Amino acid sequence: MNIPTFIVIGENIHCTRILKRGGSLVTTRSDGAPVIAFEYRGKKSALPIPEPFLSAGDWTDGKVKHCSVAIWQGMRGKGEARQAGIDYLQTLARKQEDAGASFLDLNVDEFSLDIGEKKEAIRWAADIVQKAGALPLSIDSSNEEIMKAGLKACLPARGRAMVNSISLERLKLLDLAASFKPAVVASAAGEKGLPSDTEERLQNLRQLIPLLTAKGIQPSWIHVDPLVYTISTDPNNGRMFLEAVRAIRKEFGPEIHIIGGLSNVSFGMPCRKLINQVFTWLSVEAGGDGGIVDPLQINKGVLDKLDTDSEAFRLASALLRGEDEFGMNFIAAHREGKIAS
Amino acid sequence: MSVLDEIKENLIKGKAKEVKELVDKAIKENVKPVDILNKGLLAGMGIVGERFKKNEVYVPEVLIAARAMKSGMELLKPLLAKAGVQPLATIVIGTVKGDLHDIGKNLVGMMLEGAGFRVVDAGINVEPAKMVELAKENNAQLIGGSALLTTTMTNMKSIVEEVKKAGLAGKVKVMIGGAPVTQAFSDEIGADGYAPDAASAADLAKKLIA
Repeated sequence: MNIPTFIVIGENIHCTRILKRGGSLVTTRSDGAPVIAFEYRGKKSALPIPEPFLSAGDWTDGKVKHCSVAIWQGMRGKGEARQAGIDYLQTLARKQEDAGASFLDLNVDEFSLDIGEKKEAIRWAADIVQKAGALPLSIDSSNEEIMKAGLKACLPARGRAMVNSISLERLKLLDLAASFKPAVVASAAGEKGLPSDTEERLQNLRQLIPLLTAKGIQPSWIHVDPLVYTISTDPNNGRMFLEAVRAIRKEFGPEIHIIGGLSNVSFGMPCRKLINQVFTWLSVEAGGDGGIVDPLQINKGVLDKLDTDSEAFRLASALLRGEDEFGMNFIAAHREGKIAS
Repeated sequence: MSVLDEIKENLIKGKAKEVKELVDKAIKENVKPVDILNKGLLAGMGIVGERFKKNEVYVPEVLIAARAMKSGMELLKPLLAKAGVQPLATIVIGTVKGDLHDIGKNLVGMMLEGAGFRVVDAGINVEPAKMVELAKENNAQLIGGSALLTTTMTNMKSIVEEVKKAGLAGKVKVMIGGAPVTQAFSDEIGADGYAPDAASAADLAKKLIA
């Protein structure tokens, strides 16, 4: 399938993202200090993991939040460690831009428990990431103050920044939308919780979209997120999302965008990359035109080249359409080595 | 293979219909209900839990194993009650106020049932006082709180406080878990324990009631 456009909101700069200790990237420097290895402009580099992270529960549990480490070092570190934090984040940004991202999503909600520190972190990260390339940012937060601080730090010359996200349960953000006139991720979440079927999604969006347009947000700035649930807990969740995409496209016309946190679908499953790519392909077929995804794994080029005649595609597609109960065929094929992860 | 081993093996594979038939067969062969439970159903779920902890099985496989256990329990429950076999303890679980994430909480529930607990699921976005109220109503010895966000995990502290307010400190123990939660956080808010994953949560619950 040759698709006209695919909007990638690059999700890789997010303070909850973890690396596992014992993996190849979390290692020790010659002096024994724990570091995160990365490549900066073709050269081997190391981001030192500072003390607060080493005495945290995450570390004992065998993991480390790498974006948080980079922001911490960049903001508070000294000398080389500080520079490594900056280089690390800018590398994450450049890689996503090179892979075809349209927006770079920034989420620092889990950087700290303190709202002041979080605001400082979003301002700092927005500045550093914008210096790395030319893309507009998507500010991803559930907190109004962080959202405002992030939007203020977005350079107008980059084009319209994005608010991720506004829903009926977060209407406070409407005023920010009115003053900043951003692109908006419009979530199908309801006032009291998550929608359970297509009709509920449509009802929520019928309320939300007019509220956005009344604040001067053009339909072409609206990116509807129908909400992706994981297939591992309910085999109908893939089919249900695709059905919602079709219904939303039909009701709200060709101008709005339909995206989603598409990689949620594969949580708890093997071969997540394949499932995510096939799911994205199916969502485009259903009328979607973007996603909040890892651009290194999902982009227009990948979708154009996806081999839809392969056994792997057929298995993943059956899983995602709800034709493989509890994914047993898919998991069995994975165990037999018939599909690569 | 003995009928109990067969129950265990079929449960691990998530074969609900077969598990039910085998439990029926075991009952007719006069196997003690408590043995069918411990050496058949719970033994099988224990293995699934271990494999899940080691990333050897995937979420849907845990789900269908839990479903297979349920199908066997339907036949077994009345007999266990008649024989006076009690669950290990009752635990109230829920995702804390402000948080709508339920995958982790549901997995913990399955593992707890698979370890022999009676589980009262309070759902998502649960007020701290509601958790304690349910614990009282159900004579529970444990409360399990789940959160996926740093913004909502602070509500776990309120659960600990509500337990104290209700005069249940020491009688009802509070265990917590979820992506941002750590042992240090658990210590800080005065919870009785923290578990990093669903299978460990079942081990922790056993330890807390011992």
